Amino acid sequence: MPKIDTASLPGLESAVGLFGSADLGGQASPDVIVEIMVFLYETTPPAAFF
Amino acid sequence: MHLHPDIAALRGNRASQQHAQAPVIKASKDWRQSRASQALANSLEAYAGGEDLSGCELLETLLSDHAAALQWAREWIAALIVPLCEEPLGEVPLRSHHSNGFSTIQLLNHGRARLSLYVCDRHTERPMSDIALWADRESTELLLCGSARGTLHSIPEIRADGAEIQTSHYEWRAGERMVLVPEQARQFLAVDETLLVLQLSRSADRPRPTREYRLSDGAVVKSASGDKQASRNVMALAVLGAIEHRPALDVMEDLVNDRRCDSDVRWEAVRQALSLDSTRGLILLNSLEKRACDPLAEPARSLRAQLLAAYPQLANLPLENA
Repeated sequence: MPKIDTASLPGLESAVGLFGSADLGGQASPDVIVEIMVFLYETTPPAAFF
Repeated sequence: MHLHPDIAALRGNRASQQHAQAPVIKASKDWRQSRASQALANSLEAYAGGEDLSGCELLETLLSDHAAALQWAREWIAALIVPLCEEPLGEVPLRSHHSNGFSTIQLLNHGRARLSLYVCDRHTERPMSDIALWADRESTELLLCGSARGTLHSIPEIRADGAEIQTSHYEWRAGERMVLVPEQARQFLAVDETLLVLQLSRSADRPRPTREYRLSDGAVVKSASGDKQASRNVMALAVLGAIEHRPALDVMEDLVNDRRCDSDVRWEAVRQALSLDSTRGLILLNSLEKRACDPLAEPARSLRAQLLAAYPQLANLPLENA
Protein backbone atom coordinates (compact mmCIF):
# COMPACT_ATOMS: atom_id res chain seq x y z
CA MET A 1 0.00 0.00 0.00
CA PRO A 2 1.25 3.54 -0.63
CA LYS A 3 3.06 5.46 2.06
CA ILE A 4 1.17 8.72 2.58
CA ASP A 5 3.09 11.80 3.69
CA THR A 6 1.28 13.74 6.45
CA ALA A 7 2.38 16.99 4.77
CA SER A 8 0.02 16.10 1.89
CA LEU A 9 -2.96 15.67 4.26
CA PRO A 10 -4.94 18.87 4.89
CA GLY A 11 -5.93 20.16 8.32
CA LEU A 12 -9.53 21.00 9.20
CA GLU A 13 -10.91 24.26 7.88
CA SER A 14 -12.03 25.03 11.43
CA ALA A 15 -8.56 24.22 12.87
CA VAL A 16 -7.17 26.56 15.51
CA GLY A 17 -3.54 27.10 16.55
CA LEU A 18 -1.98 25.30 19.48
CA PHE A 19 -2.67 26.49 23.01
CA GLY A 20 -0.77 29.69 23.74
CA SER A 21 0.08 30.41 20.10
CA ALA A 22 -2.15 33.51 19.96
CA ASP A 23 -0.31 35.12 22.90
CA LEU A 24 3.14 34.25 21.55
CA GLY A 25 2.69 36.08 18.26
CA GLY A 26 3.33 32.90 16.30
CA GLN A 27 6.82 32.34 17.71
CA ALA A 28 6.23 28.72 18.66
CA SER A 29 6.02 26.63 15.51
CA PRO A 30 4.55 23.17 16.13
CA ASP A 31 6.87 21.71 13.47
CA VAL A 32 9.95 22.90 15.35
CA ILE A 33 8.60 21.58 18.67
CA VAL A 34 7.89 18.16 17.14
CA GLU A 35 11.37 18.09 15.59
CA ILE A 36 12.93 18.83 18.99
CA MET A 37 10.86 16.13 20.68
CA VAL A 38 11.79 13.57 18.00
CA PHE A 39 15.48 14.58 18.29
CA LEU A 40 15.34 14.07 22.07
CA TYR A 41 13.58 10.74 21.66
CA GLU A 42 16.15 9.52 19.18
CA THR A 43 19.25 10.75 21.01
CA THR A 44 18.21 10.02 24.59
CA PRO A 45 16.68 6.71 25.66
CA PRO A 46 13.16 7.50 26.99
CA ALA A 47 14.02 5.72 30.26
CA ALA A 48 16.60 8.45 30.97
CA PHE A 49 13.81 10.99 31.43
CA PHE A 50 12.46 9.27 34.55
CA MET B 1 25.84 35.48 23.05
CA HIS B 2 27.27 36.85 26.27
CA LEU B 3 27.22 34.40 29.17
CA HIS B 4 27.99 35.67 32.66
CA PRO B 5 30.96 33.73 34.15
CA ASP B 6 28.92 32.86 37.27
CA ILE B 7 26.22 31.26 35.13
CA ALA B 8 28.83 29.56 32.94
CA ALA B 9 30.37 28.07 36.10
CA LEU B 10 27.02 26.62 37.13
CA ARG B 11 26.61 24.85 33.81
CA GLY B 12 27.57 21.22 33.98
CA ASN B 13 28.16 21.39 37.73
CA ARG B 14 25.13 19.73 39.20
CA ALA B 15 26.33 20.07 42.81
CA SER B 16 26.65 23.86 42.44
CA GLN B 17 23.22 24.05 40.82
CA GLN B 18 21.66 22.15 43.70
CA HIS B 19 23.50 24.34 46.17
CA ALA B 20 22.14 27.48 44.50
CA GLN B 21 18.63 26.09 44.37
CA ALA B 22 18.37 24.67 47.87
CA PRO B 23 17.64 27.86 49.91
CA VAL B 24 15.02 29.21 47.51
CA ILE B 25 13.29 25.84 47.18
CA LYS B 26 13.17 25.52 50.97
CA ALA B 27 11.77 29.05 51.39
CA SER B 28 9.12 28.44 48.76
CA LYS B 29 8.17 25.11 50.32
CA ASP B 30 7.98 26.62 53.83
CA TRP B 31 5.72 29.40 52.52
CA ARG B 32 3.51 26.91 50.67
CA GLN B 33 3.21 24.68 53.75
CA SER B 34 2.40 27.45 56.19
CA ARG B 35 -1.05 27.27 57.73
CA ALA B 36 -2.16 30.47 56.00
CA SER B 37 -1.08 29.23 52.56
CA GLN B 38 -2.74 25.86 53.11
CA ALA B 39 -6.00 27.55 54.04
CA LEU B 40 -5.79 29.76 50.97
CA ALA B 41 -5.01 26.73 48.79
CA ASN B 42 -8.18 25.05 50.13
CA SER B 43 -10.18 28.12 49.22
CA LEU B 44 -8.63 28.08 45.74
CA GLU B 45 -9.55 24.41 45.38
CA ALA B 46 -13.20 25.25 46.06
CA TYR B 47 -13.04 28.08 43.51
CA ALA B 48 -11.45 25.73 40.93
CA GLY B 49 -14.32 23.34 41.57
CA GLY B 50 -16.82 25.94 40.35
CA GLU B 51 -17.77 27.74 43.57
CA ASP B 52 -18.62 31.44 43.26
CA LEU B 53 -15.89 33.70 44.61
CA SER B 54 -18.34 34.97 47.25
CA GLY B 55 -18.51 31.39 48.57
CA CYS B 56 -14.70 31.14 48.96
CA GLU B 57 -14.31 33.24 52.05
CA LEU B 58 -10.52 33.52 52.29
CA LEU B 59 -10.03 34.34 48.62
CA GLU B 60 -12.91 36.79 48.65
CA THR B 61 -11.42 38.56 51.67
CA LEU B 62 -7.92 38.63 50.17
CA LEU B 63 -9.23 40.18 46.96
CA SER B 64 -11.36 42.74 48.80
CA ASP B 65 -9.10 43.95 51.60
CA HIS B 66 -6.34 46.11 50.09
CA ALA B 67 -4.24 46.37 53.26
CA ALA B 68 -4.44 42.62 53.97
CA ALA B 69 -3.59 41.71 50.37
CA LEU B 70 -0.64 44.09 50.36
CA GLN B 71 0.64 42.57 53.58
CA TRP B 72 0.16 39.07 52.19
CA ALA B 73 2.17 39.94 49.05
CA ARG B 74 4.88 41.60 51.15
CA GLU B 75 5.26 38.47 53.26
CA TRP B 76 5.64 36.28 50.21
CA ILE B 77 8.19 38.64 48.64
CA ALA B 78 10.13 38.86 51.92
CA ALA B 79 10.19 35.06 52.26
CA LEU B 80 11.77 34.72 48.81
CA ILE B 81 14.08 37.74 48.84
CA VAL B 82 16.20 36.43 51.74
CA PRO B 83 17.32 33.18 50.01
CA LEU B 84 17.72 35.01 46.69
CA CYS B 85 20.15 37.44 48.33
CA GLU B 86 22.06 34.42 49.61
CA GLU B 87 22.01 32.64 46.22
CA PRO B 88 21.17 35.15 43.47
CA LEU B 89 21.22 32.45 40.78
CA GLY B 90 18.65 30.34 42.59
CA GLU B 91 15.50 29.86 40.55
CA VAL B 92 12.15 30.34 42.26
CA PRO B 93 10.28 27.07 41.65
CA LEU B 94 7.08 28.76 40.51
CA ARG B 95 5.77 29.29 37.00
CA SER B 96 6.73 32.76 35.84
CA HIS B 97 6.90 34.77 32.66
CA HIS B 98 8.60 38.02 31.75
CA SER B 99 8.34 39.97 28.50
CA ASN B 100 8.10 43.57 27.32
CA GLY B 101 7.71 45.16 30.73
CA PHE B 102 5.19 42.60 31.97
CA SER B 103 6.15 40.00 34.59
CA THR B 104 3.89 37.44 36.19
CA ILE B 105 4.41 34.67 38.72
CA GLN B 106 1.93 32.00 39.74
CA LEU B 107 1.87 31.56 43.53
CA LEU B 108 -0.84 28.95 43.89
CA ASN B 109 -2.78 26.88 41.42
CA HIS B 110 -5.39 24.19 41.50
CA GLY B 111 -6.89 22.70 38.34
CA ARG B 112 -8.19 25.55 36.22
CA ALA B 113 -7.72 28.26 38.90
CA ARG B 114 -4.57 30.28 39.54
CA LEU B 115 -3.54 32.94 42.02
CA SER B 116 -0.75 35.12 40.63
CA LEU B 117 1.05 38.38 41.10
CA TYR B 118 1.92 40.48 38.10
CA VAL B 119 3.91 43.63 37.56
CA CYS B 120 3.44 46.04 34.68
CA ASP B 121 6.35 48.46 34.25
CA ARG B 122 5.73 52.16 34.08
CA HIS B 123 5.34 53.55 30.57
CA THR B 124 3.97 56.66 28.91
CA GLU B 125 0.85 56.55 26.82
CA ARG B 126 0.99 54.27 23.79
CA PRO B 127 -1.42 54.38 20.88
CA MET B 128 -4.23 51.88 21.21
CA SER B 129 -3.41 48.65 19.40
CA ASP B 130 -5.93 47.64 16.76
CA ILE B 131 -5.75 44.01 17.92
CA ALA B 132 -7.01 42.65 21.25
CA LEU B 133 -7.06 39.14 22.66
CA TRP B 134 -10.00 37.31 24.24
CA ALA B 135 -9.41 34.16 26.30
CA ASP B 136 -12.12 31.96 27.77
CA ARG B 137 -11.39 32.73 31.41
CA GLU B 138 -12.64 35.02 34.13
CA SER B 139 -10.40 36.99 36.44
CA THR B 140 -10.71 39.06 39.56
CA GLU B 141 -7.82 41.39 40.32
CA LEU B 142 -6.89 43.69 43.14
CA LEU B 143 -4.56 46.52 42.24
CA LEU B 144 -2.02 46.50 45.08
CA CYS B 145 0.19 49.38 43.93
CA GLY B 146 0.41 51.81 41.03
CA SER B 147 -1.99 53.44 38.63
CA ALA B 148 -2.81 53.03 34.96
CA ARG B 149 -5.11 54.12 32.17
CA GLY B 150 -6.50 51.89 29.49
CA THR B 151 -9.43 50.36 27.70
CA LEU B 152 -11.89 47.56 28.18
CA HIS B 153 -13.23 46.00 24.99
CA SER B 154 -16.45 44.02 25.19
CA ILE B 155 -18.06 41.69 22.71
CA PRO B 156 -21.81 41.73 23.31
CA GLU B 157 -22.48 39.82 20.11
CA ILE B 158 -20.57 37.59 17.69
CA ARG B 159 -21.85 37.79 14.13
CA ALA B 160 -21.04 35.47 11.25
CA ASP B 161 -18.57 37.98 9.80
CA GLY B 162 -16.88 38.90 13.09
CA ALA B 163 -17.67 40.50 16.40
CA GLU B 164 -19.35 43.69 17.46
CA ILE B 165 -16.84 45.33 19.79
CA GLN B 166 -17.57 48.11 22.27
CA THR B 167 -14.69 50.02 23.83
CA SER B 168 -14.68 52.03 27.08
CA HIS B 169 -11.85 54.00 28.65
CA TYR B 170 -10.89 53.57 32.32
CA GLU B 171 -8.44 54.72 34.96
CA TRP B 172 -7.31 52.30 37.64
CA ARG B 173 -5.75 53.15 40.99
CA ALA B 174 -4.28 51.19 43.92
CA GLY B 175 -6.97 49.53 46.00
CA GLU B 176 -9.39 49.04 43.10
CA ARG B 177 -10.77 45.70 42.13
CA MET B 178 -11.04 44.74 38.46
CA VAL B 179 -13.31 41.94 37.31
CA LEU B 180 -12.93 40.62 33.77
CA VAL B 181 -15.34 38.16 32.18
CA PRO B 182 -14.52 36.09 29.06
CA GLU B 183 -16.41 38.57 26.83
CA GLN B 184 -13.96 41.32 27.82
CA ALA B 185 -10.38 42.16 26.90
CA ARG B 186 -8.24 44.83 28.54
CA GLN B 187 -5.37 46.97 27.33
CA PHE B 188 -3.20 49.20 29.50
CA LEU B 189 -2.41 52.27 27.40
CA ALA B 190 -0.38 54.16 30.02
CA VAL B 191 1.09 52.95 33.30
CA ASP B 192 1.67 56.13 35.33
CA GLU B 193 3.10 54.26 38.32
CA THR B 194 4.35 50.65 38.16
CA LEU B 195 1.50 48.23 38.74
CA LEU B 196 1.58 45.35 41.18
CA VAL B 197 -1.59 43.31 40.85
CA LEU B 198 -2.95 40.27 42.67
CA GLN B 199 -4.81 38.21 40.12
CA LEU B 200 -7.19 35.31 40.59
CA SER B 201 -8.17 33.63 37.34
CA ARG B 202 -10.22 30.64 36.34
CA SER B 203 -10.39 29.09 32.87
CA ALA B 204 -13.65 27.66 31.58
CA ASP B 205 -14.25 23.98 32.22
CA ARG B 206 -14.01 23.31 28.46
CA PRO B 207 -12.37 26.50 27.20
CA ARG B 208 -13.36 27.88 23.82
CA PRO B 209 -10.51 28.99 21.55
CA THR B 210 -8.58 32.12 22.44
CA ARG B 211 -9.20 34.69 19.70
CA GLU B 212 -7.58 37.89 18.53
CA TYR B 213 -9.99 40.36 16.98
CA ARG B 214 -9.25 43.48 14.96
CA LEU B 215 -10.97 46.31 16.80
CA SER B 216 -11.66 48.42 13.72
CA ASP B 217 -13.88 45.88 11.97
CA GLY B 218 -14.34 43.01 14.47
CA ALA B 219 -12.65 40.43 12.22
CA VAL B 220 -10.93 37.41 13.77
CA VAL B 221 -7.21 37.76 13.21
CA LYS B 222 -5.98 34.63 14.96
CA SER B 223 -7.46 31.67 16.86
CA ALA B 224 -5.66 29.33 19.21
CA SER B 225 -6.96 26.40 21.22
CA GLY B 226 -8.02 27.29 24.75
CA ASP B 227 -7.60 23.67 25.79
CA LYS B 228 -4.06 22.87 26.89
CA GLN B 229 -4.60 19.12 27.02
CA ALA B 230 -6.02 19.05 23.48
CA SER B 231 -2.91 20.81 22.18
CA ARG B 232 -0.67 18.39 24.08
CA ASN B 233 -2.52 15.53 22.43
CA VAL B 234 -2.10 17.05 18.95
CA MET B 235 1.64 17.39 19.57
CA ALA B 236 1.93 13.86 20.99
CA LEU B 237 0.17 12.43 17.92
CA ALA B 238 2.56 14.31 15.62
CA VAL B 239 5.57 12.94 17.52
CA LEU B 240 4.19 9.37 17.47
CA GLY B 241 3.72 9.72 13.71
CA ALA B 242 7.19 11.20 13.20
CA ILE B 243 8.87 8.31 15.04
CA GLU B 244 6.60 5.86 13.16
CA HIS B 245 5.35 4.24 16.34
CA ARG B 246 2.89 1.72 14.91
CA PRO B 247 1.56 0.44 18.27
CA ALA B 248 -0.05 3.89 18.65
CA LEU B 249 -2.50 3.07 15.84
CA ASP B 250 -4.98 1.53 18.31
CA VAL B 251 -5.00 4.72 20.40
CA MET B 252 -5.37 6.83 17.27
CA GLU B 253 -8.43 4.81 16.24
CA ASP B 254 -9.96 5.19 19.71
CA LEU B 255 -9.43 8.97 19.56
CA VAL B 256 -11.02 9.27 16.13
CA ASN B 257 -14.05 7.34 17.34
CA ASP B 258 -14.44 9.37 20.55
CA ARG B 259 -16.95 12.12 19.73
CA ARG B 260 -16.30 13.87 23.09
CA CYS B 261 -12.74 14.49 22.00
CA ASP B 262 -11.58 17.80 20.47
CA SER B 263 -12.05 17.89 16.66
CA ASP B 264 -8.47 18.98 15.99
CA VAL B 265 -7.15 16.05 18.07
CA ARG B 266 -9.41 13.57 16.25
CA TRP B 267 -8.37 14.90 12.86
CA GLU B 268 -4.66 14.80 13.75
CA ALA B 269 -5.21 11.14 14.73
CA VAL B 270 -6.76 10.55 11.27
CA ARG B 271 -3.78 12.17 9.53
CA GLN B 272 -1.16 10.28 11.53
CA ALA B 273 -3.02 6.96 11.21
CA LEU B 274 -3.17 7.41 7.42
CA SER B 275 0.55 8.08 7.35
CA LEU B 276 1.42 5.10 9.58
CA ASP B 277 -0.88 2.64 7.84
CA SER B 278 -2.83 3.75 4.79
CA THR B 279 -5.17 0.74 4.95
CA ARG B 280 -6.25 1.35 8.54
CA GLY B 281 -6.40 5.09 7.88
CA LEU B 282 -8.75 4.57 4.93
CA ILE B 283 -10.96 2.34 7.08
CA LEU B 284 -11.17 5.20 9.59
CA LEU B 285 -12.11 7.70 6.88
CA ASN B 286 -14.75 5.31 5.58
CA SER B 287 -16.37 4.90 9.00
CA LEU B 288 -16.27 8.68 9.66
CA GLU B 289 -18.05 9.42 6.38
CA LYS B 290 -21.00 7.32 7.44
CA ARG B 291 -21.68 9.34 10.61
CA ALA B 292 -24.02 12.00 9.34
CA CYS B 293 -23.92 14.18 12.48
CA ASP B 294 -20.16 13.99 12.96
CA PRO B 295 -18.37 17.28 12.10
CA LEU B 296 -15.53 15.16 10.66
CA ALA B 297 -17.82 13.34 8.17
CA GLU B 298 -17.52 15.93 5.41
CA PRO B 299 -13.75 16.51 5.76
CA ALA B 300 -13.32 12.70 5.76
CA ARG B 301 -15.35 12.39 2.54
CA SER B 302 -13.33 15.10 0.87
CA LEU B 303 -9.99 13.66 2.01
CA ARG B 304 -10.92 10.15 0.84
CA ALA B 305 -11.80 11.51 -2.61
CA GLN B 306 -8.46 13.35 -2.71
CA LEU B 307 -6.54 10.19 -1.73
CA LEU B 308 -8.36 7.97 -4.22
CA ALA B 309 -7.48 10.42 -6.99
CA ALA B 310 -3.81 10.42 -5.95
CA TYR B 311 -3.57 6.67 -5.21
CA PRO B 312 -6.07 4.74 -7.39
CA GLN B 313 -4.92 1.43 -5.86
CA LEU B 314 -6.62 2.42 -2.57
CA ALA B 315 -10.01 1.94 -4.28
CA ASN B 316 -9.51 -1.82 -4.14
CA LEU B 317 -9.35 -2.03 -0.34
CA PRO B 318 -11.94 -4.30 1.26
CA LEU B 319 -12.95 -1.57 3.74
CA GLU B 320 -16.09 -3.21 5.07
CA ASN B 321 -14.33 -6.39 6.22
CA ALA B 322 -11.82 -4.77 8.48
